[in-house]
Amino acid sequence: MSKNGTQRVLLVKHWIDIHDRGLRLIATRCKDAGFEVVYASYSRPDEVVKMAVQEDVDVIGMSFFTSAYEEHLPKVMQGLKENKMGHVMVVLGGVIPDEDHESLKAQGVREIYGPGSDINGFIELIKAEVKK
Amino acid sequence: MFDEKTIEAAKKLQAQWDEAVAKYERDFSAKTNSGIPIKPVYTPLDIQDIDFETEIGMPGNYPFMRSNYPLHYQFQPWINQPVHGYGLPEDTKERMEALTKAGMEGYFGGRAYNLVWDYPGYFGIDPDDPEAEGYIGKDGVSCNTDEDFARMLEGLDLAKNNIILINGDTLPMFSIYIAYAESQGVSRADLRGNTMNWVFTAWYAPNFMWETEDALKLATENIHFCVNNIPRWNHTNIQGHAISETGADAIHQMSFCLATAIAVADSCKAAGLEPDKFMTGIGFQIAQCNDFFEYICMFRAWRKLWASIARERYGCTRPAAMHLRTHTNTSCFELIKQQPLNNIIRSAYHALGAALSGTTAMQIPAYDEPIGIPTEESAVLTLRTQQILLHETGITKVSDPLAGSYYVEWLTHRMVEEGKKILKEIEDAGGFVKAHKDGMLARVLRKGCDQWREEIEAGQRIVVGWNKYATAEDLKVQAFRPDPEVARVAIERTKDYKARRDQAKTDAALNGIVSACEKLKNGEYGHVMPACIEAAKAKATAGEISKALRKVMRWGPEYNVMLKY
Repeated sequence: MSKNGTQRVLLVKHWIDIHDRGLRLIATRCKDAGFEVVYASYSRPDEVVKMAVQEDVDVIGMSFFTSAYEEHLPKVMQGLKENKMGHVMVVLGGVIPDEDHESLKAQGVREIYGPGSDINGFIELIKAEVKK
Repeated sequence: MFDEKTIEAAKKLQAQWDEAVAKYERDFSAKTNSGIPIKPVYTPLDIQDIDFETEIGMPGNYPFMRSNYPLHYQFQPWINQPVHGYGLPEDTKERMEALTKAGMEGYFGGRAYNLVWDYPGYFGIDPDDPEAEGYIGKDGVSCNTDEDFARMLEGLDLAKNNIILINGDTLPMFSIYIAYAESQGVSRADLRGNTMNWVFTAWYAPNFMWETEDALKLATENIHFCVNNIPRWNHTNIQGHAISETGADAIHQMSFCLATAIAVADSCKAAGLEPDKFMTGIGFQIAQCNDFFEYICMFRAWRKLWASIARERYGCTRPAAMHLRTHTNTSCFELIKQQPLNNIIRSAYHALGAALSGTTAMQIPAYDEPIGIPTEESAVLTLRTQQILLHETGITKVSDPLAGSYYVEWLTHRMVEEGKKILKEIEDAGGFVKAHKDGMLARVLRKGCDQWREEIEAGQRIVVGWNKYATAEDLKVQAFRPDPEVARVAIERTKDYKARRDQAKTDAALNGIVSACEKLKNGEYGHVMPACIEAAKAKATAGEISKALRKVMRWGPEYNVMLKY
């Protein structure tokens, strides 16, 4: 959380992922909602954790165009835990088949969004669960 | 364009029409998706100032607005060019064979294999590099050596079929392909196909990250090599589809593509290449999207503007150098996850628009792409969509069949004017490279993408199954998954390949690339591609060739135009 009490959201795609239209849209909406956005563009899991710590973010939104979350999400979750950042809300977006949702949530992912998801729902979720 | 009698009659009838609709007491004017205001009806009055001979003309006549050729689909339909590639090279070979069996056809008895690489392949990363983890063979084929090319292409006549290499940093994979072809006894001069030359795609989509000036030098080096060695090769694909997917409307897709092509062509000219020779290898990948007529008019305007740029700016004299070579990739961002079968219908309309525009090649995304990569069934269905269009609708009998429509001619004319306006803005801003670095493109694309979504959320733009006629339960479509063994096999193969070669020879060849790049930095062309091919023949992998290039040519996120939020 920032000094002035605004929710801070880190948005990122994996280093060699592709197609960031959705993530850029989310960035705009988060900013419009009054959140502080750290737009990390294309970054590696260790860089995601480092930025999350440095910027003291409340939420991490990761977008994947492929199923590479299978390999890279656990690294981010582990890194957050090791850095006492386990409280950070992690959400995923992108092309994520429905049948993967359960196992991802079991790993601690708060919510999973995809094409056509309700963006306001995401904004409301942050407002409700990350208190100023 | 009309005689006095027709104009007088049009005026009279227009007045009657105005009176007839006045009783509705409503404004029926609308806007195209690009925001061009349009009226509910068009008449000869709207196009009376457009001269038939100089502005419209015949198919095959400069400025080629109606078609590049006097006749087109009547004897040679568009090329079926479905994008395919996944898993190991053998998996992709299977998909290539399935599409061949399903009737995929190219020009004059050949076929065009539109092969897409996985992201490590896009970014010049070998499977055995930890950076590739999670992406090997997932959204494209994992192929990084001449042996992989053999697994994928063995038995194909490379002088007859078009091989299209879809990957980002282009030069390494192309070099390995040439080395492979020559090892099969096919001379490089006989090869046909396309490279993307997408080293500058970071200009729109911040993922390929060459520093801009270095990107242009690499693109120019590839073109320099092709012009001098593989005259028939289509060296450059200006990616309108990426620009569209990133947020551009029809006008901006066309204008940004043309501005990109101008930047590339200026660079080629400065490198001493003859426009009549290099312009023939530049093609455009065009997204055909919603707003049926606007995209058809965009296409016609695009052909006209490109021809006039080729002739006026570059002094081209060969018609082939003025032709707009087009690969249609119908819209992806307008396909949605909800009620996914609807996407088949959407794509069929996009494809119809592309065919009515006179495209030269076509790829249609599969309906299940918002869910995962296409299954064999959905991939074949995209081909069937093209085949039904070609054989059942009768649209191939007449060239440019919408020509002469008051609306289509008026809107085409308007698109030309809008295109010229944006091209001038970019020129005034110091050219495309500068406009990109200043964030001008990013701003336009961001605005376009935000606006599209806002219009959907406000219900001003209807998307069936999403903001209208939504259903609680969508049809469940099983996502296609490549075999998890793919990554293990690809990594092992790369390690084994590296272990079997004469390492000293490979290292020396890779050092040769570094020296060649130093020359390229100083504006000396003609060294890097030959050095890359030497390295490929010395069994360097794509990832190693990429790394050698990056020792001199600047690559990395710091060269990206970052978006600020």
